[in-house]
Amino acid sequence: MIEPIARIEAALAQLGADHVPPAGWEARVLAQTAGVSRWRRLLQWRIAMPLVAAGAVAAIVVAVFPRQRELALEVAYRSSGVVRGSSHAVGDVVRATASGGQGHRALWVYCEDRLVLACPGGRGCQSSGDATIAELTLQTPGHYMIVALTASAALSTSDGTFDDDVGAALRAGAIVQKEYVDVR
Amino acid sequence: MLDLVAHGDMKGALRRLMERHGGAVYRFCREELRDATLADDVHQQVFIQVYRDLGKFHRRSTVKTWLYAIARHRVLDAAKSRRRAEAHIESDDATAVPDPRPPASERIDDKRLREALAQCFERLPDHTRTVLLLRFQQGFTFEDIAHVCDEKAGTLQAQVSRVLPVLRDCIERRTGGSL
Repeated sequence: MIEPIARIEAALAQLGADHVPPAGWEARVLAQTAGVSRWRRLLQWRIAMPLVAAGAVAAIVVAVFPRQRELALEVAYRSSGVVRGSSHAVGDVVRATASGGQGHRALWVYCEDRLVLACPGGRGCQSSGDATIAELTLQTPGHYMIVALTASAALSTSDGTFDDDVGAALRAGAIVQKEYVDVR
Repeated sequence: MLDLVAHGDMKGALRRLMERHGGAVYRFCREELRDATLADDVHQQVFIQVYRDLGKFHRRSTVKTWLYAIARHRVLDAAKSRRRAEAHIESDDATAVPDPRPPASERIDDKRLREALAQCFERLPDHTRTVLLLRFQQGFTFEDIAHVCDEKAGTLQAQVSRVLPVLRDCIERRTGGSL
C-alpha cells in the first residue's frame, strides 16, 4: 500500500494534468511579440534621438563657442647691449604678449607703480590673432610691472596707478597675470 | 535555445521555449489562478515577457528556473489585481482543533482524492501553492524553487513537510475516508 503522503504527492503531480493551453496560443504570443519589437524599436529611437540631438548641440556649441583658453602672459626682451646679471638695462626693449582669456583683454605696463603703457590703444600696442602685444623701450631705471588682464567687459585704467587700476579691475571680476622686471 | 539567443534569433528561441515549456507553464498558471480565462492571459504574458527579456538572461540560473520566476511574478501580479479574497488553511489548524471526522474505515479512491485535493489546495496560501506546484507538478528541486521564490531551500522544504499532513487532514475530513 502507498503511504498517504506519497498518494498526496502523486495527486499533486497530477494537478491540472488535463489542462492544455488554448489552441493557437503560440501564434497569438508571436503576433504580440511583433508589437513588442515595434515598441522596442520605437523606444530605441526615443532614447537614441535625444542622445543624437544632444551630441549635435554639443558639437555646435563647441564649434560656435570655442573653449576659452586661460589667460597667458609671455615676456621677452631685446637687449640694447650690456646685460648685467638677471636685470635689464635702460634701452632694452620688452615685448609682452597676452593671449587667451575672456572677451576683453588688456596689457598695462607700470614703472614704479605709474602707468607707462596701456594696450590696446597705446603707442607700441599690436594685436595679432588671439594675442595682444605691447612693445616698450625701457627708458628709465626702476621696477616695472607688466600686467595682462582679461574680463567679460571692457577694461580701462582708473587713475593710472598700479594699485588702483588693477584693484578696480579685480573687483570688476578681471583675471590678472603679472610679470616684474628691474631696470638699472 | 541559448545558441539561438547568442545568434540574435529571439523569435526562434521563443518558439523553442514555447514548444518545450508551454504546456507545463500553462498548467502551473491554471492551478495557481484557478481561472481559465485569467490563466490563458497570464500564460501568454509570461512568454511575451520572456521574449522581451531574453537578451537579459545571463545564465545565473537554468532557463527553466528563469522562466518559472517570470511565471510566478506574472501570476502574483494577476492574483493581486484580481484581489481575490481567499480563505487560508493555517498549517497548525489540524493539530490545534481536533476535527470530528467520521470513522476512517473507507479508503479514499484516486478520483475522490483528486477532487478533495483540488478543494483543499485552493484554500492554501498563495505562496504555499506555488511551492507545492513547483515541487510536485513541475518536479523542481528545492534549490530550484529557492531560485524562483528567492528563499532558502531549507525553509521551503520545511514548509512542504508541514503542509502535506495539513492537506491529508483536509482531504480526509472532506471525504470522510482514510488515505
